[in-house]
Amino acid sequence: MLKFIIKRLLLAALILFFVMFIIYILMSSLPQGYFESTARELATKPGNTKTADQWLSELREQYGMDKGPIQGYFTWLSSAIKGNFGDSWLWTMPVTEKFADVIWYSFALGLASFILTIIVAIPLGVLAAKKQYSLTDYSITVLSLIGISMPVFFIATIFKLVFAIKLQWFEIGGMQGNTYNNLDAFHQFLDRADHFVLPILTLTVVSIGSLMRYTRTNTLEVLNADYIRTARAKGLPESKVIGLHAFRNTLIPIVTVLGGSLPGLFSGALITETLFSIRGIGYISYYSMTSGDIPFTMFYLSFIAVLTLLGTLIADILYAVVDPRVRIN
Amino acid sequence: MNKKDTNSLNEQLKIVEQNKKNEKNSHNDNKVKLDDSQRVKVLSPGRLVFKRFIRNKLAIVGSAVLILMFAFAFLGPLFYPYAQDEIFYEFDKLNVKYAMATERTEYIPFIVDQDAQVDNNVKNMMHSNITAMIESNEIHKIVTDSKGNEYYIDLKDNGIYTLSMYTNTQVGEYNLTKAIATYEDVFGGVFTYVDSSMPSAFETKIKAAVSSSTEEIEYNGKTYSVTSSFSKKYSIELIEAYYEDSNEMVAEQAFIDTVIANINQSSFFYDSQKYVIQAASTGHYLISAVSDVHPVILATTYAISPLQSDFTVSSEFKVAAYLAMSQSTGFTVDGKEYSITENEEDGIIISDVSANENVAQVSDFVMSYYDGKTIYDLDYKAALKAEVLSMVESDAIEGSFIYRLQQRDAITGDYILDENEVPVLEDIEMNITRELGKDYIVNCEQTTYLMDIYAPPSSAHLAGTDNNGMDVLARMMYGGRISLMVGFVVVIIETLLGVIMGGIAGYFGGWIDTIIMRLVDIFYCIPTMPILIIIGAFFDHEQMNSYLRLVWLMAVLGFLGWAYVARLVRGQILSLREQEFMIATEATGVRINRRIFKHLIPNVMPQLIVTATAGLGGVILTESTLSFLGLGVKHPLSTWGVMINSVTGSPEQMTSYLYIWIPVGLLICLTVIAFNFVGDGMRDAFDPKMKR
Repeated sequence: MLKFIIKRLLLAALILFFVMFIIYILMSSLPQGYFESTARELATKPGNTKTADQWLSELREQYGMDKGPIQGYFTWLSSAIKGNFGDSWLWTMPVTEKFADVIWYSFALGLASFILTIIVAIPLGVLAAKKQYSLTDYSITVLSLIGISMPVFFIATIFKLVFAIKLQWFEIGGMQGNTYNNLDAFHQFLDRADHFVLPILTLTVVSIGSLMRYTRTNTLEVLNADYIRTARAKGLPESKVIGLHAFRNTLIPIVTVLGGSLPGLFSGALITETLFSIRGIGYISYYSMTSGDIPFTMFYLSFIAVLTLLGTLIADILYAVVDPRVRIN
Repeated sequence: MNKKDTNSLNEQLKIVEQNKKNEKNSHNDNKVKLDDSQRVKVLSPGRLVFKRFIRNKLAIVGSAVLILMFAFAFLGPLFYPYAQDEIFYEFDKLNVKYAMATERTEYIPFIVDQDAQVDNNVKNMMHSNITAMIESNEIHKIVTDSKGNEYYIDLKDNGIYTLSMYTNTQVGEYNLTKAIATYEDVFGGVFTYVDSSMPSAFETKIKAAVSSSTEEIEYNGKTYSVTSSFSKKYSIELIEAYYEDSNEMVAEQAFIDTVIANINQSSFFYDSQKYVIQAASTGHYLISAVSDVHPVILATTYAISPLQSDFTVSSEFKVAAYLAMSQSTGFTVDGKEYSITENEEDGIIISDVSANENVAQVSDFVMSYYDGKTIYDLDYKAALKAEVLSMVESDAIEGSFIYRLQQRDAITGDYILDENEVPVLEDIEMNITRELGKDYIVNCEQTTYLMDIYAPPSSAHLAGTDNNGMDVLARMMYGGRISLMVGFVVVIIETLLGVIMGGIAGYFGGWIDTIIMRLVDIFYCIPTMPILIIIGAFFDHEQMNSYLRLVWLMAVLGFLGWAYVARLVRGQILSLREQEFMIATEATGVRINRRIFKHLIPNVMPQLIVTATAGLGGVILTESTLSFLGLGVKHPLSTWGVMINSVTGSPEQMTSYLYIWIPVGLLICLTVIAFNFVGDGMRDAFDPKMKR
């Protein structure tokens, strides 16, 4: 088992090396003039301690942008491994500092919608499988498909219209109200929660569909298995058949998938955060990328690549751990 | 024996059967055919799949939606009259800037005498000099320019100021010396004479003077000066005062004596006529006779605006009119006689005497329509002036008055006429606001020709118009075209790349497989959306052509998305290549690429079609999201994402333009759902085991 994990880790490191290389090639193949003009544009913003020329020379030095792809890549990699990603041009502070500032908002958002998704999707998926081809099954299937098929921005806009503009239950965007700083800790929490409801709801609606479908498919497979027929033949009540025998087996692939999506909680929701102005990593990176903040963009791309890789790694390992029937190798 | 028996039995049975058949067929005289109904029907695999597919209700709904969507997006524009980038205009009542009025307080100089040499500084100082005069309540003022010339500013009738001056006429020159020749000390000396040449004795004397640096020589009792003008060049002048006439008139000796007597004065009188002496250069004086004082420039705050559309106010007319006003007379320009009258209501009016019509108005209020066109309506001008004056008096910044204006039809833009073909007038409230201190801007409701933006649904525009005045339904159709096209092109690129890579990896196995699968892992890890955003931002920065952008978008999406197809194809081929039919192809020596692409890939086709169909929905979602963020397909190309983005910027827009963004959003959802339904249906149809 340990050998398997080590092997997978080494493989992941190798893949990461090449992914970072491709990211580096992509970024460094943007014309030099683009770097220069964006640096000059951003350097005029207030609060800057460095000039555009300082940034550009840092970019050349730290990112090796003038050394040709291979050598430049290693220059960048060596500083990136040390956690040195330079100063963000847009936010005028070290990239990693900005990242540490905002990552927990994204995590909170991700975790809440993750839990909500699990609570809703898994029972519904099992229910749909149990009553296959019934009206319940059809409506659940159709609903989950609608959830998958709706563009995030459309759902977010509809939620804004219904809950924020028409009903005025929640805030339309932003992270805190005007009076946030005058509130006590508990009310600060409530204020923040009020702002987070719609983004969480949006994220949940978007992700609920696929998990529901996955649960349904797997439960159906399990329900057709021989041991379920045996359980039924023994005369076990249906609740026990489903709740104990079927559900536990259904969980195997689901846990694998969920485990694999755990790192994704940190990756932030690019579009949702941007639409609701939640200053998490997604929002910050979106504005960094659109305004041409090269250091932050490079960091974000590498960060996402690491998270994706971590996700597959966790899923692979969990698969082996959860299901003893799976032979390693 | 035994065998023969059996044979004969067989033969027997055959004959019996044949007889039976013949008997049976003799009734209807038919032979058994291959497609006889008695045969066991076996559906071809394709038809089996099709049958299973159409049994799935959701898949049928999906297919129907897709067919409708294709018809809407690809056929719709053929029958719909509008293009995606056609901008519509309309006449609408709009509060526009209608007219403007400015009170002229600055005195503007007009040149009366084109020949008079007026110092520029004096001309430009007119306004400040006049203001100074008004302040100190003067009506006459003397100013001098840098050369000492005198000018007189006078207040004339109607508040017009004139600048008058003496005009000098040169009568003669008085010189103390007279240039004879120039001498160049080269080639033994070269003389260039002004008039007549001098004898060689004179020349020798000059040469001697040059060599001894003597500046004056005596010759024939006259004194000559030799001055070095520059290196080796000398000018020789006769020192003798003389008077030279400028014109035909020959001056009397008494006049010349007076000039000589007053040569150090600036002016003198001779025969009660004033003369001025100006020093031109050393030893040279210009003597000019001073003529009468007459106005050369006039300055006024008035402006003349025409009252007839066919009458143009020329600068000649202006000057003549002002001049006449300053003397309170009439005037004649181009042979036409004009008179100036003033009344309480209309102010100062210039009329053509012979035609007996008012041609222009003189006023210190400049009034025009906001677009700069002249107002011919005297009543309107009077009303506006009265209101502005009351505003000036009370120092108000806002005011309003009611005026009856001709009205235009709100649909056609034509002026409304009643049954007698007389224009219909309507009371319009004119709101005046003061801007920049002294400009008065009139705002009022006017029927204006403008872009028909955000029009609600109507019979002309079934889904209304958007923020650029473009037809929403047309843009929905073209947007659908682009979304579907992007989806198909990207999925085709993905599938092609994926099939090639996956096919090679799966078939060859070994290290090729390892390398390709690691490549697949790498491409799985590359974050597609962020990269698309960066590229979009870069294209924005470069202001790339929107068609080129579209191509790039498709290429990048396709290039980043092939990994999952490759993984699928490779997995399928790994199991397929162990099957008997592949061993058979190997045994019969079929070429490798033929084995992969002719025998293996067709077997992967079902899965490929399923994933491609489901993938289409995903690509459309990505494209619309990117376009929504403004980083995908750009104006003037229409796309669903951009359409939603253009009307959901603020809560007000969101609620006001529901009829734009809700249908467009539903179109996206419907398309993606339909692709998913069809994809699901196909998967179930291809692989019935999954379902049961």
